[in-house]
Amino acid sequence: MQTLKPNLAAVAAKVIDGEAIIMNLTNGAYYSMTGVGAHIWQSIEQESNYAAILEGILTRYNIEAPQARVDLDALISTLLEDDLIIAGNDAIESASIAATTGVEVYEAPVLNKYTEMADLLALDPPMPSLTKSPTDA
Amino acid sequence: MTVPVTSALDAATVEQNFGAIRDAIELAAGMHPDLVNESHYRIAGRAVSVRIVGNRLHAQLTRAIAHLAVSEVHAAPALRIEMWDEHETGVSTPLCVPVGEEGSARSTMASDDGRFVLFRHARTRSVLDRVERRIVGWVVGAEQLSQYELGRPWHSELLMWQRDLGLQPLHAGFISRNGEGLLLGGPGGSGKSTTSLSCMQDGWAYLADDYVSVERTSEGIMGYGAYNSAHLDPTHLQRFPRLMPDAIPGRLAREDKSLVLASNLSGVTLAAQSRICMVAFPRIVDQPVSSFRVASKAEALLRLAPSSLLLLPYVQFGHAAFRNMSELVMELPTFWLDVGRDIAQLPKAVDAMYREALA
Repeated sequence: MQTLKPNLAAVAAKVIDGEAIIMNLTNGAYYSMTGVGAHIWQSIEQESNYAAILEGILTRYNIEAPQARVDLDALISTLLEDDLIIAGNDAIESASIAATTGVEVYEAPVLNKYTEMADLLALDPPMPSLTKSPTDA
Repeated sequence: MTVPVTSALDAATVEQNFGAIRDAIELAAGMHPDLVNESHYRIAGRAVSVRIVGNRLHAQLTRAIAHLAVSEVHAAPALRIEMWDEHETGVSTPLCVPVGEEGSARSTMASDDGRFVLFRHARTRSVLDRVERRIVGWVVGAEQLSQYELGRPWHSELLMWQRDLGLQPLHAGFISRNGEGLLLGGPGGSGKSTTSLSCMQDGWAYLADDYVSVERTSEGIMGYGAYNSAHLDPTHLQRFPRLMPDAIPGRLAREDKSLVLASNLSGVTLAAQSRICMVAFPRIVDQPVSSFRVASKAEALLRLAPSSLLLLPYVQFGHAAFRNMSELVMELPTFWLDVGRDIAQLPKAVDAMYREALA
């Protein structure tokens, strides 16, 4: 199964009060997700594979597997596009579909993206040569 | 007199810049002992010595940190800053020449090992030695300092120095009362300066309007302000009639704000550090009076982190910074502060919020 994990080379994130806050440190863009999206991000932080994430959604939320899969694929695609996560090599198609058992209300995950800081960062980009601090351990 | 060193500016020559500037400072000091000014400060709670060759330059650069001055001389300061004024001393080096238009954007470069970091502005250049904790710098002439450099001298250099000491810089204003500090976070234009200045006029101690360094100590979470300055656009300044007589207008076309130095004002209290007891996030709203409500921790982190991370926009610093800010908002009471049109009433809303946080 395809393993998904945060792109730690570029991303810092925190799930706080049920909301995932994700910062792309390389370009200043930042993101937030609540509900199902925050749940999915927590699974990604645990470096879950695709099937486990899908199963986690179906176990928690009242949603049919085909729709959950469509929404999950769309979110993963966006997260990959924005370099927020890294995916393993296995194909998504290899995942099996679990049965729905969850009862919580499901809303399709939405990734809110904010770019005003990215615009500022573009004016004053970080210096690429400062790769380490001589005072760091 | 010219110090004969020539080199293109690149990572390999950053250390060479440090040496050339250091040598030029010594040459200028040797030639003009009457222009050597030594002064001492406590910045971020640490002893900092400043040695500037050039009387006008010294007067200009130290105004924004005048409230941090101390009389004692520390034998081993945590930071040494040394500068020279080319025009006043007549000492120059080919490495340091004006670049672009006055007040234009800066560039930054580090040596390959990360030890030396060079900050180049249009009319100034400085190099921070992160191991020796020493800044050396050149200014073409005190009269050509930008308003930003007058209001926030050595800003980028101090940010990196403080980060190396383990402090976390935040994009925030900072005021305090009875030793309990109130951080005012948020992006530019959100109302940090309005809140800081209006509360300063209402008896709060003023520590900062735009940038604070935070550190965990045995006394709690401490915040440090560095500058007693504020930059206000004309509309903003009109809301503070008492500040207008002392406001310094921009000298260059691009400097559309006025500089206010709180150390020039009478009847205000300036402070260097305070324990932090709460974080508020001002936002300008279209309502007559100011009000407040609790901000969720997620809202607080979303409001505080993005622009604070821009202060030191380096990926390798970002993870720890984000973690620090997450912990800060989790530990402290967090509020939205809706800043209404009646600025005179704003301190009352801040007082009420402050009492609720401490209750």
